Amino acid sequence: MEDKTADNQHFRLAERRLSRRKVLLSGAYLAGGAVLLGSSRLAAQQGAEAPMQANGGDTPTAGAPGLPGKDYTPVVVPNGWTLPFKVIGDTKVFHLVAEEVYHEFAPNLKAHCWGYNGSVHGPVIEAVEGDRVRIFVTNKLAAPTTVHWHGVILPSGMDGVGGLTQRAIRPGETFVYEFTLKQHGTFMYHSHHDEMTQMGMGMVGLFIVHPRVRKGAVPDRDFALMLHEWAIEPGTERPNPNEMTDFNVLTINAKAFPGTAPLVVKQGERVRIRFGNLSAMDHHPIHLHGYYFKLTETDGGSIPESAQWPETTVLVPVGSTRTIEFVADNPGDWAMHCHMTHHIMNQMGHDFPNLIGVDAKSPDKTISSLLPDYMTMGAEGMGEMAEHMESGHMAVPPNSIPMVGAVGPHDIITMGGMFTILKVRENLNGYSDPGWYKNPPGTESLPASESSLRENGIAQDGSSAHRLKKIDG
Amino acid sequence: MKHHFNALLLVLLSGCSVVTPQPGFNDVKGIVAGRIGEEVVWRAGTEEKPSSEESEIEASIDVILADELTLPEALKIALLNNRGMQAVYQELAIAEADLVRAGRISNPVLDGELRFPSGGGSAVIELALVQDFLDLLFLRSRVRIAESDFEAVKLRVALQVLRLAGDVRRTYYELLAAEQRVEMRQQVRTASKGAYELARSLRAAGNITALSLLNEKQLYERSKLDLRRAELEAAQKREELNQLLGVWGDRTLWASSSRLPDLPEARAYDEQLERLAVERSLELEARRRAIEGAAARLKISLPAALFSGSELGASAEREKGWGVGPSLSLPIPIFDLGGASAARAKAALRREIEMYTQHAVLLRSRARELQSAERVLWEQADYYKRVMLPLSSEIVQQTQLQYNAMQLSPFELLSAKQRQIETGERYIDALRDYWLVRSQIDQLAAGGEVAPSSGGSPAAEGKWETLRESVH
Repeated sequence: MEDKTADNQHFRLAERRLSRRKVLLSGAYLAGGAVLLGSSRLAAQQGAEAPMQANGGDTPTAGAPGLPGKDYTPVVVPNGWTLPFKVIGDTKVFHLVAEEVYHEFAPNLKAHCWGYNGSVHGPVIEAVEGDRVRIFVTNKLAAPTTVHWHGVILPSGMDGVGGLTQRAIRPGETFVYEFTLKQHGTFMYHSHHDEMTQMGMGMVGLFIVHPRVRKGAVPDRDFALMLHEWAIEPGTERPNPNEMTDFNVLTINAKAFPGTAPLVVKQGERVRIRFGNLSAMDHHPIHLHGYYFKLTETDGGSIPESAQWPETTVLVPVGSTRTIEFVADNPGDWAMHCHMTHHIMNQMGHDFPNLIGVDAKSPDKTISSLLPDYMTMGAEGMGEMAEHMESGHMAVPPNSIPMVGAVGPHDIITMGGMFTILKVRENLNGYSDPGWYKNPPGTESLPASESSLRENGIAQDGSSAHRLKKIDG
Repeated sequence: MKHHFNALLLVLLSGCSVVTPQPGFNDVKGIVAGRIGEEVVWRAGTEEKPSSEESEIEASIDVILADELTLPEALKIALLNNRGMQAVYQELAIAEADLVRAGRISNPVLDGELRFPSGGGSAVIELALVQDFLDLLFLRSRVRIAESDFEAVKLRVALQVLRLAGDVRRTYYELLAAEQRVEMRQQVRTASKGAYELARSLRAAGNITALSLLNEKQLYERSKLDLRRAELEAAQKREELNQLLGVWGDRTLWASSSRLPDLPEARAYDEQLERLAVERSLELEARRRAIEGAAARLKISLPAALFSGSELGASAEREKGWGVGPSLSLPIPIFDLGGASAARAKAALRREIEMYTQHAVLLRSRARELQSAERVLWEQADYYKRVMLPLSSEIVQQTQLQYNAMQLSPFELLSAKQRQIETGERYIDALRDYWLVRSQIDQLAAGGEVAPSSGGSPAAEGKWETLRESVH
């Protein structure tokens, strides 16, 4: 079998697995008697790039329901879950229930949101290209709703646009959507009735369709992450979907750091991460430390290999999915986060005066004579907040996590929001959280020793460093 | 007849005695002690050498002023030391002098003439000795009238004492409230100062505009002005109290106990207030005396009008020899039958009666007014204490939490604090108003007078001339 993938040695390991799989599957197809099987399609299967087609897919339109483990490796959903299904005849039957959910974003921050089946966001719907899916949607909200299948090619009436393609599902009703999956990729589902409110309240989820026949390297670890943003005023318990610009809770799979579960990977595994973004207003440039990756898919389909974009930061626009792949050859604890600096803060307020560089000794003395608990904050930035709150020094409104990050192995991690950690370990027993990475000796940044300073001619106070010559005094 | 003779004798004999020192004052003391339980002292004047009593009193005043001046102490000093009050006591002496004079018949008049005839010969001498005899007839009535007047003066002097006590109470409460307001304005100034200092630090670091800094400065300066005004008001109240206490120099350096008394647990409703006000009113009692006096005046008005100027006497003349004989002069009621004088006296009596009734109506109305004011002001002060103050305190706490979460700025936190202090100021005002009404109720129940809300008594304003008028 010809393989036009890059001759990167990292792919060779996966290759062997791939060829075996292909043999199995192609056999099944020939035996299954697919209706629209043409010789041109068979040829397309065999490694050559698929031509761009209107329906985006390059496999037969119907097939036996694909089963997890057998026909595909299920995705890993940190902090989330995949919706189980029934097989009735040759149809996969799913049941979504739209309802209000009291959801925890991180320890000490809970809110009344809208989600599906008891979770925010809704569970991942996972299927295989060619599957016929039947999705029942029960509406237990007080408002009408619909479900739109973002990126999925289907009959117009199944598209889920309230008022346009169907009547909205009224509270208490159960509608049914049924269509055959004609493509593979990372798609999404979300309410398409009063989107601003309902999506703002959390009614979104990922819809992942695996290919019938996998081309290229198969990932060992396949993660599904949904990005979202919320406006929750500290001390309140409900996101405000009317907020347009000032979002203060940024989430991955509806969790804000330190509530985000890490992505655990064995060293050497091929990793795929699918990002979906249904934030109201913000695109998210997700940056991964320690690696560069290739952008391999969008919600429109696979990107041809030669066109796969190498990056360390993938921009996930609103209403899009982006899939990246890399091999985890670099062990450690790697930060993965949105690079918009306000998106890695929790519940930051934007009406606070700028106190950087302010000498507040005098006002502090005056003000604390009236307000004993008062202390001017922010003179050195926002980092100190975590310490103040950890030590119980500063009371904050209940049910709020302003700015605070988490205690890390070395110090407080002054991060929050859309932040998680890729943990790559040489030896792993299962994929539960392996704890913090222990830096091998000589690979951790530590205070420079006296001898080191001396040998290298470095003055501790910085006076030995070159300086930009000032033009004026 | 014998009765009249005895009276005449008594009066002739007593004509030699002088007026007593501090006349009627024991009655006044008794009234004051009975109504408000305070002691009054008619002090000896400074032109006499200071008695041991005087120096004792002076020493006791200094002792009281040495530490915190409480309200009972202020009352005590005012009653001892207010010179205007001492001036009022002299009215008793004046009234008693009038009483004594009323009990005296007028002196007989000796009339003598000497004529030298131009043709020579011995001089002609004419002598007459006449006595106004109406005095004798109407002496008892006139004494009775003067006694009524004297009683009325005693009552009104006691009333002035009550008024003084009421003024001291009112001024003292107002002073406490003014001093507490100064404290609060100081706190507001501290809050503004903190905000301004923070703004200055922000500006020094280059973090805010010059305009923002100026706005904070303006708020700060305004708070300083507000403080100054509060200090002025407190100083004015102090001086009002100093006037009532009758002190000057070092004696004005006293410190008050500086906290208004707490609001009582429940309202102090006394359904007897209206009745008490009328029954115990010193003013009404004085007016009763005035009515008695007017009635007595009416009784003698007609004969006095008809026969005033009547004289009885003896005359002697020597022209060629001495001739002696009695004389009598009587006005003949032809033109003036005395009816007008009688009518006048009658109208004066009626006037007294009507004014008496009107005053009773006024007292009843004031009692009812004060009852409802007490209810409303108690509820208001209680509402501030129970609801508004805890609420504003909770707001400051919640604002502090939001500040700690860096959602609200320190300036907003200071504003919340300022609003809490302002709520406290309104509570103090409500509390003061309550205690003012309560002391007015006590005043009314003790038989004093309660002026309508505007204006104090002549005693408070130092208008001693009008005081004299009010006493008669």
